[in-house]
Amino acid sequence: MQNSLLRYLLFIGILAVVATGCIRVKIPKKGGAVSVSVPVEAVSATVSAFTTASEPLKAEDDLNVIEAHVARERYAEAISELKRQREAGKLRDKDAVLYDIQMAMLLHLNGEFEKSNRRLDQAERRMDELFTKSLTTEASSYLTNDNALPYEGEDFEKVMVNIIGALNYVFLQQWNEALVEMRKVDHKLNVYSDKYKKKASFRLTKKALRYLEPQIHSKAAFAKWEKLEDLRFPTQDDFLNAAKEATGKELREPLRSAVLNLAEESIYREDAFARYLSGILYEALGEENDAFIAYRKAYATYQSYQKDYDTPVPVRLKQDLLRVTRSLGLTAEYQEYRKAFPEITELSEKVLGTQGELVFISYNDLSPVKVQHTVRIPVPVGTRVDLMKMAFPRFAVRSNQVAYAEMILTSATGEMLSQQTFEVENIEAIAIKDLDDRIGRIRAKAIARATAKFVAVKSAEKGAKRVLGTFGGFAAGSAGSTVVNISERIDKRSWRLLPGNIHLGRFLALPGVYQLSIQYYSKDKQLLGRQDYRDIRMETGKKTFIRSRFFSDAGTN
Amino acid sequence: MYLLDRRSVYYGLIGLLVIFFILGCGAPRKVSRVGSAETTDLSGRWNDTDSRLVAEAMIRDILRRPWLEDFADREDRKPRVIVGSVINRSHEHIAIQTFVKDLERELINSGKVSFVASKTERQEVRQERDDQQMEASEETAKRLAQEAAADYMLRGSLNTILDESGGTKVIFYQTNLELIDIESNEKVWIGQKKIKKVIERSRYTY
Repeated sequence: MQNSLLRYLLFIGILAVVATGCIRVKIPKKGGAVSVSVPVEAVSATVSAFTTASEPLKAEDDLNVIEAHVARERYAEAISELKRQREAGKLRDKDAVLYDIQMAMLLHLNGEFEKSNRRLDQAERRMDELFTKSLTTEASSYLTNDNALPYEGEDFEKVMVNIIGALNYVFLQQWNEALVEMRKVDHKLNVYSDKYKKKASFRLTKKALRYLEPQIHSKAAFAKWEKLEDLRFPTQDDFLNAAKEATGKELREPLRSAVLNLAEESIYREDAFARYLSGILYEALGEENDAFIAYRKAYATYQSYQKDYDTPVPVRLKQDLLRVTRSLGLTAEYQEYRKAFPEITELSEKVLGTQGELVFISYNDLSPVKVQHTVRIPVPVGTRVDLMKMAFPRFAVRSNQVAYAEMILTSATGEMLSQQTFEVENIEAIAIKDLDDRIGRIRAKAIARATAKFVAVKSAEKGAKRVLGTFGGFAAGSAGSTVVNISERIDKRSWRLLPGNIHLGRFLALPGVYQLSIQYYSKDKQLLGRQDYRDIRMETGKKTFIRSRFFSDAGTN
Repeated sequence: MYLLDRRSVYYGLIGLLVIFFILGCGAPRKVSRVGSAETTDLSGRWNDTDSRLVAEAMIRDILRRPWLEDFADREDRKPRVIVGSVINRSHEHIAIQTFVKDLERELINSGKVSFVASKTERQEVRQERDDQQMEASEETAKRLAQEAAADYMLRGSLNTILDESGGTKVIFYQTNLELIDIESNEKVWIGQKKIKKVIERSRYTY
């Protein structure tokens, strides 16, 4: 078993040696050819190949400068700073997608919607092309680190590309084009759904247990459930058997489906905000049937968002579902939703027909940032014990305090209307869970990589010792370890300029010109800040979109 | 090394090097000219070939159908057509104007149909005409309220259906165009062109 693992690692090592050799063949350099006569030397040549690929990536500090500009709404400065960084060679060709999406976000905030869309389009094409993986770069990432791979973007980032794209078109008043973006999202989500459906496993997390607790009547019964905490089961049957064993009872409806729903580990494969936004846009164009399909999917997705990311189902979505099903004459569906949301008051068609709607989108704070978590594992080598270094990524959250915002709309005659915004997408939570879902694979790769490097250094040390004696062996070993220590770095790249969460406010008002004041509040109702918008024109039956970027600690940043 | 003997590793490496060398050395840039009627499929997205195929199919169809003769028999003149909206309901941002313009051109050049300027074009022409009333000489200034009204409106949509699994993607484009009698709301012609593409991508490359 161990032998076959080593054999596999050695194969990857050889592959990478050849890969780097190929590059050298293309750009001939004197003395740069790889010597392949002795395998030990070949392996140490691979070690030396690390150094070229391991310039320190300072992206974190560089991005902080840009984020500080964004926090002060100095978007033009942020854009030129990002351009400057690229020209200074801080972003590599491998980071082309990352550059495009970061730039697109800044351009979007700066109101340069067409330019933003060109960036997003380019990013999307590149992401698509990266479906085909290069074996040579994959192999070299096994020997250096994941920064050797071109940045492709996470699944949720790929969806955000279309969401931001759709919003760009909305602000350009090109509704049909906005819907093209939403159709692209629909397709992407369908593909993800197929991809991950088979991979869903079952596990009761602490959070899931918290949602389960009110449904279990006695404390003693709940204690039995707690025994299952964090145990992962590959299939539904395995999970149900374990539950039966733990609780001593067969699970019956409706608890059975509730438990299954809570335990199913849903990898990100649906996006509630994307669905909800599609619904809004379809409705704006009068395509009610498409709007209904989108709202229904949004509703289903928000139910799992509740468990996975603490984002509740928006009240407004429930009203939308009731209205659209009624208007389409879908009586059965209407009854079903009416029963499910007894507390919701419907918006009458009459009111909607005479009023305009303000759709307020606020991007709050910043998405989390990846930090390195280093582990050193002692490994016995002969009579000594050496340390094997491994690096894993972990998300660090950033100040993200907005719980809701109060929107106050004042008409020309001084009439005031007020309403609250609601969370539609918690990007922070999605990013963290997304990494969590992949961490197993990332860890496995880090371990394989660390082992490969370790074996390589030890073989080089042994080889050098044989040729140069004890001191030579020691020198080669410590030089190799240094290289390994430097090269073992995590891939910190992520679309960091995305907000931490997105809030939406939907406001119905009679046509006219209004002033809008937004007050942002934290969970404990502390005022975090305010923004004012002047001369907002509302027209009958039309939607007016407004976007805002808010930082809860802009003052301290 | 005890896992693999030295000789096999040596030969393996040489073999791999040769493979990588062959794969790694790409040709320098090569440009070749092709006719505009030649099919060139690169990414699988909507391209000039699709646009041309749709225009050709529509033109062939629209000129063959009885509405043209019916109109000529009835009115004893060429029908006047206006281009309305052709909505993009697809998964791509497509310049629909390219095939609509192709269609317009072919129909005008066939001599059987005349086209009236579209809504936005009209605005511009009207502005010019208004301007002429003030600035141009009386003999050359064009008269007001002499516009020819359209008899038919051409409108339609472009739809796509996508399916994808693994590295295989199927795109189905359906273009619908219809000609509507402006006075009676009757549809006198419906044209349809379907295009289906299968795009296969490999998961790995060197």
